[in-house]
Amino acid sequence: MRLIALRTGRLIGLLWLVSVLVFLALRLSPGDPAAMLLGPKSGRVDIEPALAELRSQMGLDRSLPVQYGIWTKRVVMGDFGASNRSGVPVREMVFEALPVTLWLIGLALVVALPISIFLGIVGAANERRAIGRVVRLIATISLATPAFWIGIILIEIFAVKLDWLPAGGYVSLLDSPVEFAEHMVLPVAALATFMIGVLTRYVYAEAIEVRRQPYIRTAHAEGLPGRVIELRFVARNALIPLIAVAGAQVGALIGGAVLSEQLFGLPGVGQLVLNGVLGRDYQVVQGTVLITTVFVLLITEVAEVAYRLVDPRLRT
Amino acid sequence: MIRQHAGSGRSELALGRRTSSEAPTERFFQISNLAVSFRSGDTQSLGVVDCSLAVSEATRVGLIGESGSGKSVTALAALGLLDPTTATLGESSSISFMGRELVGMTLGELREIRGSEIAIVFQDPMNALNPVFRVGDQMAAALRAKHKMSRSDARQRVLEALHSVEIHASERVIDAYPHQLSGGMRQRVLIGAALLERPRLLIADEPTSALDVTVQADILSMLHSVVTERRMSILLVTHDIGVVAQFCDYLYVMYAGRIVESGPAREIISSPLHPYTIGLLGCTPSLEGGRRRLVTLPGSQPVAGRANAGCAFAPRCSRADGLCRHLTPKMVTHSPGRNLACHHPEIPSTGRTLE
Repeated sequence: MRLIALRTGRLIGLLWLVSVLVFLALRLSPGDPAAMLLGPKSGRVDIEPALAELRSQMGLDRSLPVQYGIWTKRVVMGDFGASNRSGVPVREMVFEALPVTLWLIGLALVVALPISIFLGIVGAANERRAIGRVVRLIATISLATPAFWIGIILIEIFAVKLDWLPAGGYVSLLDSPVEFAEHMVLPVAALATFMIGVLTRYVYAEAIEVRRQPYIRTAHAEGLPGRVIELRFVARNALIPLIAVAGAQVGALIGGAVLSEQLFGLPGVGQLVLNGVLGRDYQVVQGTVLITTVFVLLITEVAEVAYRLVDPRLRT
Repeated sequence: MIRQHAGSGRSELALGRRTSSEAPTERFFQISNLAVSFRSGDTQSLGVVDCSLAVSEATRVGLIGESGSGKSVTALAALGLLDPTTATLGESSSISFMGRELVGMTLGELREIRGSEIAIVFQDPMNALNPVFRVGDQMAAALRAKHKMSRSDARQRVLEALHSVEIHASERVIDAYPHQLSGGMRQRVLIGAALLERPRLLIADEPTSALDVTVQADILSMLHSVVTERRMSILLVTHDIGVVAQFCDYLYVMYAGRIVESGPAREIISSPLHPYTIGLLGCTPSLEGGRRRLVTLPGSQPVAGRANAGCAFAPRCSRADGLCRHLTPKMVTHSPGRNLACHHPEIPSTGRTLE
């Protein structure tokens, strides 16, 4: 009970911190949202009065603490404002974009996890043999290759040369499951290839560590076949912490997804933030980052709890 | 796994080269001229220099020495459990069990023997059990994988094994995770796991060192009765001469990677011949002896194999002379059943020394 209270407190603290940082970062970056909104005309001198009026309309003429206060007050009540370009409510925009990003990351994890686990465990079991070397090589290459580069290669091969799959775009699962799948294959493959590097290295390192533990020596002393020892004992010991790691990966991946979304033209949160920043659309950026943060924290938290439930030592 | 050695070095040949006559044995289990060196990076160190010992059927043999004497390495080597990437066995090392040579066996052949014929109990009950498996599941794993036993049959066997190590709440313990058990309970579980496949020989590496003295006594008496009941042999590896004194029939004393004295346990305890053994006994508090100062051995044990010439114990020995510093003493028969590697052993009756 106390733990839950503690974690909720930490969650709120983190959210507050994120909100302040996003708010400040936007105000500190050059560019005037009102000027951007008025477009090329704003270069003319007689536009000043219009600009000033727009600024006061948007509340930009107030002091920063007051602006922050107004925004927070609205956010707490569930109002994230609206885009000052399209007028669409930010919440609506985010909840349209978030599933796209979550699908991308989720599917990439589903593809990457089993492959990484297999490579990591088999690689560790053959640490000093050729197989171990090959696994380490695969992991390093995969880690060192940016997802967007893999994406470009994939588009080149499967969309341009072979014309098997669309090069970009997004169709909602609800509209057409087949088209949804077609559009997701390449971005998921690109992101998964990169994730395999990170996760394989983790599983491998963990399995190497576990294999040196006295309880694995006990298993050997009992004459258990190597297959049983590696796939049952080493694997379970090494994979429990992976749950938490995979959860934490989601956060890191949203950052990485920005590039993939851009490359494959997926209307996810990455795109939303990017366009918001470029257009100085404060409300959109602030709202998107905040809502996404909530999701990331929740997923991390769930993974952490799941990890604690699976590990018998932490259960009690 | 273990480097291949000449198979002929097994019995007579290997022994013939040595001046000792080994303990009375029908060659049930025998280690001859075991040498183990460890390689880490560019440095080579010796864990065991020269160890020969024998365990007969249904006997309790003790292997005693300070930490670093090579006794645990010997125990691990006996089942081929040393890390093959760092440990190498000496050319003439031989380990035989019921007529079969274990050195040079394939991993598959070794697995047939591990657990089923020779089992080992490790010293660290906190880490020797897998923390994320229920006690029963990890104990049953060997039965299920090696003997293709059904889940319920295996469970039954595990329950019996837990019972035989005097765990009364076996139904509760079988479904517990290791961290939910006390140290003594965990050690019992480990012993129970070792007994599961009814092995002929049990190697126990410091089975009670991590436990409270009272728990130690319980576990030792349990072990004693189980081993006697099943007519098993046990090789008990320990640093605690008090433990072996009550437990063992026969004793080997190891120092800096070599066996320096061996003989019937009672005789060694009552009249030790090697100055090192005398020192070891002097370090043990006794209940009967009244108040007396505990003697400690001066200095510390050299790293096995570091001292190239002479007796490894010479720097700490009050009797050491030029001979000791230049010539490594050989194991020789001192009196029937008692062997010794010392230039100036204690003469029990007169207190004089040889030579």
